[in-house]
Parts: sequence; C-alpha cells; structure tokens
Amino acid sequence: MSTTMEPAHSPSMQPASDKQFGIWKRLLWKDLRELLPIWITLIAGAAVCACLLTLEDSQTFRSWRSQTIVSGIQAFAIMTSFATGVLLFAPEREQGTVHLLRSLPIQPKRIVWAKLIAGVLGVIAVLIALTLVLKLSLQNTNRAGDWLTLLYSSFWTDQLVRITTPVLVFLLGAFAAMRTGSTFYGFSISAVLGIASAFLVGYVSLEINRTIEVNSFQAIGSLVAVLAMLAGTLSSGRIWLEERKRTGFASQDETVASEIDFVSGSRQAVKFQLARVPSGKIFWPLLWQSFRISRVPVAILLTFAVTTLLVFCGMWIAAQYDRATGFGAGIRHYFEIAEYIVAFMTLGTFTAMICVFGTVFWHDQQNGRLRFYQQHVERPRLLWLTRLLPWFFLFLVATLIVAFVGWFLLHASFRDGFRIEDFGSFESIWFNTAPSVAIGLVSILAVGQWWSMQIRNPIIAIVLTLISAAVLCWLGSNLPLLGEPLTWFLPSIAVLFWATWYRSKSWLADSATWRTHAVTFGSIIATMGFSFAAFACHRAFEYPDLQLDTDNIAAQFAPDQRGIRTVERLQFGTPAERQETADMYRQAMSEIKGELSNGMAGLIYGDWNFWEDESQRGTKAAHSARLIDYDKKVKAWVERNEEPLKLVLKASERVACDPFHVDYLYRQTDKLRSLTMANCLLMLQQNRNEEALRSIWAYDRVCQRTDMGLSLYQDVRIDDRKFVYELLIRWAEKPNQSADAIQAVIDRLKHDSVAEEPAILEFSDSTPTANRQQQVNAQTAIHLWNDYTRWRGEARWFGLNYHFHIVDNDMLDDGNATSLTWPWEKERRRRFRKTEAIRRFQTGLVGHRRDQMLPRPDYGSYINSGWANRSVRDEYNFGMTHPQHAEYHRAVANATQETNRRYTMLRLALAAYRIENGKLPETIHDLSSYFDGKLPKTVYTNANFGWLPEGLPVQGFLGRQPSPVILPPNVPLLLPYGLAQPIDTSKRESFNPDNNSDDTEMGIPIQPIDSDWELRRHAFDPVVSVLQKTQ
Amino acid sequence: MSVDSNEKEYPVVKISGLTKRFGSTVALDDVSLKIPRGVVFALLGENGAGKSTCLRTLLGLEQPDSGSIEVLGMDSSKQGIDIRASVGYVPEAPALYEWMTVAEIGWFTAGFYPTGFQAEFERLATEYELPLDRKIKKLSKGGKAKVSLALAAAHKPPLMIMDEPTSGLDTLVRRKFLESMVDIAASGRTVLLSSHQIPEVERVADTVAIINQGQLLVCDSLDNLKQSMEQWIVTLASGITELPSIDAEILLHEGQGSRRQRLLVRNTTPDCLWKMRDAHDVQEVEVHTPSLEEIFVGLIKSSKNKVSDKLSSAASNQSAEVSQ
Repeated sequence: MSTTMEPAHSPSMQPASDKQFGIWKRLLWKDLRELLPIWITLIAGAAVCACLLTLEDSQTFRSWRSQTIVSGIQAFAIMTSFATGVLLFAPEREQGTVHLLRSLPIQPKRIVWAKLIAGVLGVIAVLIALTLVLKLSLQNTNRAGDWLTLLYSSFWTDQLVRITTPVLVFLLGAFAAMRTGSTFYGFSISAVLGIASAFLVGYVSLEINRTIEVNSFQAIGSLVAVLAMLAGTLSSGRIWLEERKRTGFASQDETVASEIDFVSGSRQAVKFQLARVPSGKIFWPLLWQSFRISRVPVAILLTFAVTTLLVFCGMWIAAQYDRATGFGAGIRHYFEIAEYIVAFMTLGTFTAMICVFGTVFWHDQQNGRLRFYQQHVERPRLLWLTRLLPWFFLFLVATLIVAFVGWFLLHASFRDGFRIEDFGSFESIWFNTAPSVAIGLVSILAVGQWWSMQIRNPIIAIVLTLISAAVLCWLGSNLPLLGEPLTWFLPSIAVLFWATWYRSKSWLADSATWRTHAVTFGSIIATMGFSFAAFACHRAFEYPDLQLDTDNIAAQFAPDQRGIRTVERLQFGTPAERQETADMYRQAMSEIKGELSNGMAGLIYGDWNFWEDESQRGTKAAHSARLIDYDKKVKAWVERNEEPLKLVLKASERVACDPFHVDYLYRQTDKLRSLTMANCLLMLQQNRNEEALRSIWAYDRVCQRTDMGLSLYQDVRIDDRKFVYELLIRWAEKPNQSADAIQAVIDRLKHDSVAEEPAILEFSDSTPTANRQQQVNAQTAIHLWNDYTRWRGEARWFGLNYHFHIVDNDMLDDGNATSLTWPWEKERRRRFRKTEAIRRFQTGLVGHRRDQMLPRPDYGSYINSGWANRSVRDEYNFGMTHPQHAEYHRAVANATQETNRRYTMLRLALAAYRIENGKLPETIHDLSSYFDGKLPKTVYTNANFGWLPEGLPVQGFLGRQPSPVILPPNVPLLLPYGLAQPIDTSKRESFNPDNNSDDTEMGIPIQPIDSDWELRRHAFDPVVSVLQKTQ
Repeated sequence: MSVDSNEKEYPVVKISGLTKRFGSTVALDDVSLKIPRGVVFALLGENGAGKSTCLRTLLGLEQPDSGSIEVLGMDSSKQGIDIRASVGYVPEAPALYEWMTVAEIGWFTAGFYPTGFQAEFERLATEYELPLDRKIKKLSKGGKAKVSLALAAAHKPPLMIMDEPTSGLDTLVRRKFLESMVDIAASGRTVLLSSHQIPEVERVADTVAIINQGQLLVCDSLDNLKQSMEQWIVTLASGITELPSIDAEILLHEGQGSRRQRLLVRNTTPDCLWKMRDAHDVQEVEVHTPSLEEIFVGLIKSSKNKVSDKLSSAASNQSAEVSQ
C-alpha cells in the first residue's frame, strides 16, 4: 500500500535545504537566550567582585595582584562552563520541554549539537565580556600591570590546559546532565568526575614526567579527555532525548517522585502530607520541605564547597606524594592550586551564595504554594523560620569549610618549615580574617532573604542581592579599618532578618500595608545608612583635611567650625592616645596644606604614588619636569623653616616614639612618609643626624618602606657622606631589602662618586698563571672547587643533608647513562630509560630527598645546581637537586640578594671607614664598629667575608669562559664567599665523587653553623644600635 | 485540505502487530488497527494502558520491538522525521518554553516547517484570542493548550495526533477545542485523539479503539460499537438473586439493589432477549443503548476479569500439580 501511495506531505512540505540555516539559527537562539540570565548574573558577579577589588584598599585585600586576577578569570571560566554544561540539558528534561523538541521534525543529534555549540559560543562570549569587565575595572589599579600578559604569554602547555579545562568542565556538566536528566545529579556528578579526571591526568603525568608542573602530557591528556568527553556527550544525547529514563539516577528520581510532588506544588500531595501531621506539629514537616525545596541550590553550593575541599585534599595528597618520593617540583603547583582555591572561595562561593540566598523566599512563590500555605499554615512566622533554617545550616557548613581550608592553608606546614604564606602573594589572604568571611556570608544571607521576599523575579532578586550585599560589605568593611570590632555590624544584619520576620504575615497573605512597606524599606535604609556612616567615618578619620577650606584657615582651626566629621563626633570610641596623635597629625597636615597649599605638602601628599608608579603612568618628560619642580619646592620649604614644620615634627616624633600604636597611620604610608621626610629634612638642617636616623627607622618599622635614606640622599643631596653611609648601612641591614634597591644604591654611589669603592668581585683567583691554557685550567679548577665549596656551604647553611653526585661527562657522552643510579631511585626500585636519565641529568634532575630541605622558612626552599664549564673535558659536574623545584629561582635570588645586601653593607662600611680614617681597613674586623660588633657573614658558609686590602698580586679572572672578566692586580678585593683555600693537588687526586660523607676529607675550611646567627640577625635592632653608638 | 479521491482508499495510519516493551513491561501487545482518512479517531484506555506509547511510536519517537506502522504511507521506524513534519502533534501536558512569548514560540517552531507556518500560527493564535506578546508563563492552562494546538495545526497537517488534549481545560475551552477537531475532520483531515474523557470523545469521535494493558480490545466505528451492544436492566422476581443463564456475551454484570441487575451484552439476538424476558425468575427487562462510557467500562472490566480468571486458573493448575 505504501508503495503506491504518495506521502500526504511530499518533500515540498519538508524543511527546504535553504531553511537549514533558519533551523540552526532558531536552535542556537533558544539555547543562548535560555541561559542568558545566568550568564549575565555571572558577569555581574565578576563585575561586582572586580569593583570590590578596585575600590577596596589594597592593604586589606591586595587582590589586585596579577595572579589572583588571572585565577579569577579562570575560576569564572570554570564556573560558567560548569553551570552552562549542566543547565543546558538538565532543566529541559526536568521541565519537559525536551518533548517539544522531540516532536519537531529534526534529527535528535541536531538538538544536541545545537546545544553544545550554543554552550561553547555562550561561554566564549561570557569570557570575553568577563575579560573586558575585569580589564576595565582593574587595569587602572593593577600596579603590576601585567595580568593580561600573564594570561596570554605562558607556554603552549599552560595555554592548552587553560583552554581545555573549561571545555572539559562544560562537557562533563553536559554529560552528567544528559545521563541523569537532573540538575542536582548533573552538578554533583560532573563535579566529582571533573576532580577525578583532573587527578587522573595529573597523577599519570606525575608518574611519567616526574613533575606536577603543567607539561606536554597534561596538555595532551587534557585534549584527549576533552575528545573523550565529547564522544561521551554525543553518545549520551539519545538517552537524554528519549522519553523513558534508563539510568539508575533517573529511576531514583522516579522513586522519590511522590516526595517531589510535595515540593513541586501538588496541592493534593501537600494536603496529604499535612493531613498526616498532628495538629500543632507542623514545624518539622515544613523544615523538611524547606530542605527539599532548596535541594538544587543547596546542591550547587555544596558542590562548590565539596569541590574546593576535594581540590584541597588533592593538593594535600599531592604534597604527600611529593614528599614520599622526594621528587619535588610540586610546591609551585600547590601554590597555583591554592590560588585557584582562593579564587573559588572568594568568587565562586560568594557568587553561589548570592544566587542561593537571593531566592530564599522565591521558591514559595512558585507553583502556587504560597496560596496553599495561606489556607493551611496558620502561623506565617513559623513558615518564615523554617524557610530560613536550612540556609543557616548551609551558612554554617560553608563558613566552616572556608574557615578550615583557610586555616589549613595558612597554618599547616606542607613541609618542614614551609607554609603557603611564605609566598608573597599570600601574605594577606582573606582567610586571615575568618570573622570577616563569616560576617560577609551572613550579610549576604540577610540581604538575599530580604530581597527574595520583595522581588518575585529570581534574576532581579539575585542581581539586587549582589549589588546591595557588595555595597553593604564594602561600606561595612570600614569598621575594622576604624579599629572597631566587626560585631558592630551584627545589629544591621539582625535588622534585615527582623524586617522579613515582620513582613512574613503580609507576605503569606500577599498583601502589605503602608506600615509593612515602611518597616521593610526602613530596615534596609537603616542598614545601608549604618554602613555608609562607617564608611564616612573612616574616610573622615583617614582624610581629616578633605573638608578643610584652605581659603579660611583661621575658621578651620576654630574647634566648632572645623566641619570635620571626626570619630568622636560620631560617638565612636577611640583610645585617647590614638585620638591625640590623630589630632596632632590632622592639625599638622592641615597647617601644611593651609600654609603651603600649592607647595611641597600638596605635592608630596598627592604625587608620591606618581613616582612609585612611574612605569605605569605618565611619561618620563612629565616626570622630570615634576621632579625639578618638586625639588625646588622642597628646598624652598626647608629653607623657610616655617612654623607648621614644628607641628609636623611634633607629630612625627610622636610617631617615631610610639610607632606601633598609631595603627591607623599604618595605612597612610604616603602621608607618613611626608611627615617623616619633613621631619628628617628639618633635623638634618639642624645637624640632628641621629634623630633623623631614629625617625627613619621608626618610619621603616611602621610602614615597611625602605627607601627613605635613598630619597633623602637623592632629594636633598646631603653632603655628609659618612652620615649617608651609615644611614644606608642601617637601611641595608633590613633583611628584606630588594636586590633592585640595593643595585640602585650602588649605581647612585658610583654615579655620584660619593664613595671610592673597592672593586666588586665575585670570585678571586690567587693562582698565578703563565699561559692561557694554564689560566683556563686553573680557572676551571677554581670554579669547580668554589662550586663544591659553595654547595657544601649552602647545604650546611640551609641545614641540608646534602648528597652530591659527581658524574664524569664521559659517562653521558659515551652512553653509559644506564649505569647511573641514584640513591632515591634505588630505594624505590625504579628504572629509568637511558634517554630519560640523560635528560634529567642534563636538566639538573639529579636529586636527593627533598623532604630534607627547606628548614629555613624565611628563605624558602633552596636548591642549587652548579655546572662547571662543560666545554672542558674531564670536568666534573656537580648535580644538585633539580632546578625545577618550584622555589629554586626564588631561593637563588634570595640567597644572591642576601649576599648582596651583606656585601653592600660591608662596602658602605668600607667607604665610611675610609672617610673617617683616611684609609681602608687592614682587616675586616676593623669594620665591626659599624655593625655593633657583629660583622655580616657570608650567606653560605657563615664565615667572614674575605678582605684583601692590597688586592691580588697578579691578574685574575672573574666569570667563566668564554668571556671572563679580568681582575687587575693590586685592587682591593672583597670576596663574598669567603676565601677558598688554594687547591691541594695531592688531595685532589684522591677526590672521590661518591664519597661525600665527610666534610673534612678534602680539607675544606667550612665553619660550623652558628645556630644563634638567625636569632641574632633578627634581634639586631638598628635603632638600638644607633642609639647605643651615639651614647 | 483537498484529498485526492485515490488516497481516500488508503488508511492514514496502518498498524500491524505492534509490540513495544519497556524492560519486562509490555506496553503494547500485538496491536493492529487502521485509521481511515477524514475521521476523528479516538484511542481510549486507562492511565498506563499504552495510548501515549502508541502515539509516540506512530511519530517515530519510539521504535517498535515488532510489527510495523505506516503513517501517511511512511514507515514510522525509518521516517520519523518525515512523519513529524507531516503531522500535527499535541502532546500530553504540553511543555512549552515559558520564557518565550506566544509570537516567539511561533517563530521558533516555524523554522522547522515550510513557509506559511508563522502566518497561520498567528492567525490561529488570534482566533484563539491569544495575545502574541504575552509570555507563555503568563498564560492560563487553557491558553497554553491553545498555543500547543496552534503549533500543531499551523502547518495544516493531514493528520493531527492529540494526546489527552483536553486534560485540565475548563468546560468552555474544552468544548471549543472539541469543536475545532470536528472542523478539522470536516476539512478532510484526520484527527487521532487519545483520551480518557469518554463523554467528550463520544461527542466527536467517528471511530473508537479501546486499549487495555497494551492490548487492543476493540476498534470500530462508534455507531457499530453501539449497535453491537445492549444494556439490559433486569428486574428479578421476589426472592430471586441469581440471574438465569443466557446465550450471549456478558461484558458487565452489576447489581442495582437487591433485585435489579444491569448487564452489558454483546452480539446478542432478539431470541436471547425474549428468552430472558420469558424466564420465570425475571420480572422485567429494560433494553437501552449503552453510552460509550458504559461500553468502555464494560470492555475494560471484562478484560480484567478474563485476565484474573486466567491467572486464577493458572494458579489452581499449578497448585494441583504441586499436590499431585
């Protein structure tokens, strides 16, 4: 029959080929439009976070640091992909609209493909928008200025992993949602799968590459995982599209269908449930119902929290693995992961919290449940209470997780002596202020539940929650800045809860009186008003002169006409002494501004950051012009020695006397610098040098700024060279001086010919040589010996149980690497292929137990890899623990910097000694008076620096082939590593590379470690030193 | 829509030996039927009887385990997309994208059908008094049903398949809905209707098929069905409780008080009726034409009794074997 009968609808009724585009367009439009609110919410969340970071003082958050921002983008990329993957598929199944799609005359695979394409397009668009938002809001405040560079300039492996991770997460979410057809299970399962796949790839990569660093295997593994998940997702499309669910999870869904009915608004089901509840005992059913209602958002939020915990646990496991194998290279990775955790915690969890809390009461407005409760729930406030209790529970769990991870990150040692806070980026992690996190979360809850009762549209409620919570938290954060406890904030939060409690009756009845409206909106106005008051108070306290009228100085000084909103006027308690200092400071600054409104103070006050950010802002020509102008004004100001300076001096002295007490000034480093500068200048003019020094040290201790001496020297051209040297010695004594700053001092000293410095030598060669080859041989031997000595010294200095491996080049060249074995490899009965062994050896991956390292947290981990000149045959290579260790470069830089610092101190002392005595010292001990009897020692050996006042008797060489620096004879030498003993050739013959157990075997004069050195070094107080010296 | 006279000879839907299982559950068991062109065909059955599965299999949304289906001359197992392009489908509890407006969902769906869909959809929406700029979520249940019907009918399909289309609608909307079905059939198109709202179906259906537990109990025109069955109200003599035996197929036997019995008999003859009336124990026999609902109930109960009889006899045989 069918063969003779034409289909009733011939192909003319089928979609024509030219309509294919229309089909795709409609499918994509639908999917993009459907998820648009979620994406907008995410972007808005990112924007608010960015604004918070921008507006908030960097002293509090310091989140402008480039890595954190990049991590933020990555975190949002993962969040967006994750949510997109799940929400593209699961709700369609849950809401039944998949049946509509199925009834359309299109191939099922097109539906799936359209969704995948829409998801990818949407995520890309969101990320572009996100990048722009973050760039616009952060670019101007990001002093590093390189976050985009960091984002796009790393290696291809990093990039590939960065790109594939969101894609993988997206596909995982889609896969789980397809298989289960449930948002709840979609989020939960894809999170677990994501973590599992990340660990799988990471673990295999670790086994193969012996590094947790992002490497080619990980990149390729991620790509393969993406392809595998793409295949899995596509193959799951039919299951998702089919009417009957076939998965175990789906059948679980079906089994709880009756319970869901209770939630989803079936009045009969609710009635049935309530009928079984004895009269007056409705509390527990309502509470249980609240948990049921909130299961999906709770799942999302808990997934975030659990994911974070899993990542953290994985990090810990990786650390243990790393430690057990002694393999290393993981620390940097932990650090990066930790930053992701921070990003997840701060951005992800907070955003999820906002989304969840912004819909607390919205759920009851869905599906007519509210009307049902009007009939069946006699006590509206009981309903209010039961709706809020699950969120309190959730809040508690989230806070505990945040607090735990934060605490662990900051306090638990990953290794002996190593903590994550040793990294610079983590010096002010948010978790330091756990109460702030708790208050922040409960504020979001308070604001969210407030909006969710007023606004019926969840998206609008979430956005409003986002904005108002951000404003509230930001303004409220001024409380701790004022020195007030955060508990001040709790009444505001209580007011918001009280407002919904008060309104719950009319909310349930769906009718509100003017009184209800007034109370409700009054509550949020009061809360915001309080926060704004804290903000205004903080600003007034910080910037008391902002409201001064510079045209009417006299009026301003009248106590009742100042017009300054001071702390005491707003009735905030402030310790008397702090207030006194503040008054003094304020008065001084006011006078400066009043008397010299266009002069020095204004310039210092406003433009100092300008100089610090020279690389970021303006042009050099403009800077130069400003500098000239600035210099003139400074001199004019100092010459006048006007009355306001006395006030400045007084305030500054007080700061100097009690620097730690004026913590409010801690944050005002620029202003304090102005004060101290003025003070110092004044004292220097009056030849009160020691007092100036004292003031500078006080300033340094308060503000941790290290360039005061340099500024003084640069700006006022102090003629007293001895004073400058002493000043700079004190300055260089600060243990955390930067190498750049030291180099700047050296350069200026050279440039201005202030000091006749001894030659700067790194090594010396005391071996006379006759010809070039001999020179080279001798140089090589010295290098070898120095390296060996230095390594031993380093090992001892860092407390390492060192284990050197000395391998002849021939062994590698002749392909004998298979015979290479390493103790730690033997222990684990592992074998490496020859090429792998060679590669690792060549990259310095010849190691020993890393768990015996890092005893000095203040210098971080330290390993060194020294390589003698490999162009010379028969040269011994010293392979120390591999340089892929995450902290290798940092440790080397630290050690070099520390050496330079001590070296600079000695050079400055030499210069000062020469000015004082007219000659250079004969021994290094002659300089001890400049160091309170404690001469700086070499970093590695803890021995005194070598000092040869007469220099080398013959010409020597510095550096290695092919461009050694020639050291002229008879030039004073200061050797940073201590004197290497002349090589004893007889003993060199007996040099046994495998025998490294005895330091004395080679006759190497390594001094025992001075265990008290560290203590003494830190206990050395420059202020005390100066004072004692002056006494 | 004009229908070629040659095409009128062929059924719009032809189902032969259709069996569909979901795991161990048999949803459709050897179902065979034909649906002629230009009729309102009602597929009746209880919840879970297999109606929706049958319709979804027709549309190619489910693959049959055995048997064959031709819809408009197309094999549903191979040409599901062509079938869905040619028929209009109103699913049970239509789920629409609630964030779309009426116009948007029309635009969205129009992309999958030939030109003219959107204009016709808008015409139908206007006819059904649906505001085009209103979001779906703001519509009442009846409004959503109208949107679903307009979507299904906008490409003027020769076959409309409706799965419980009037479920949840109020009386006026339902009445209008049913009238539209009659109009569709009057224009030469075919309506395949699945429902358990039997009184309404009776008003519009030309042909009825009743399914129970996956088995097709009956498939005939409504007139034939009614003609083949009679309802007898038998009043027994005083003191008599047992009905005399008759030579007819009793589909339903219910007591109405102590002496009145209601019987639904099929394929009976006038002799049989006279025998009953002449019986000593029978005082009076009233004969009525049964309603479709009564026929439906009778057939379903009869079917269930047969199944239970089979099960009990099987159980007794089994116990007898065990005792032996």
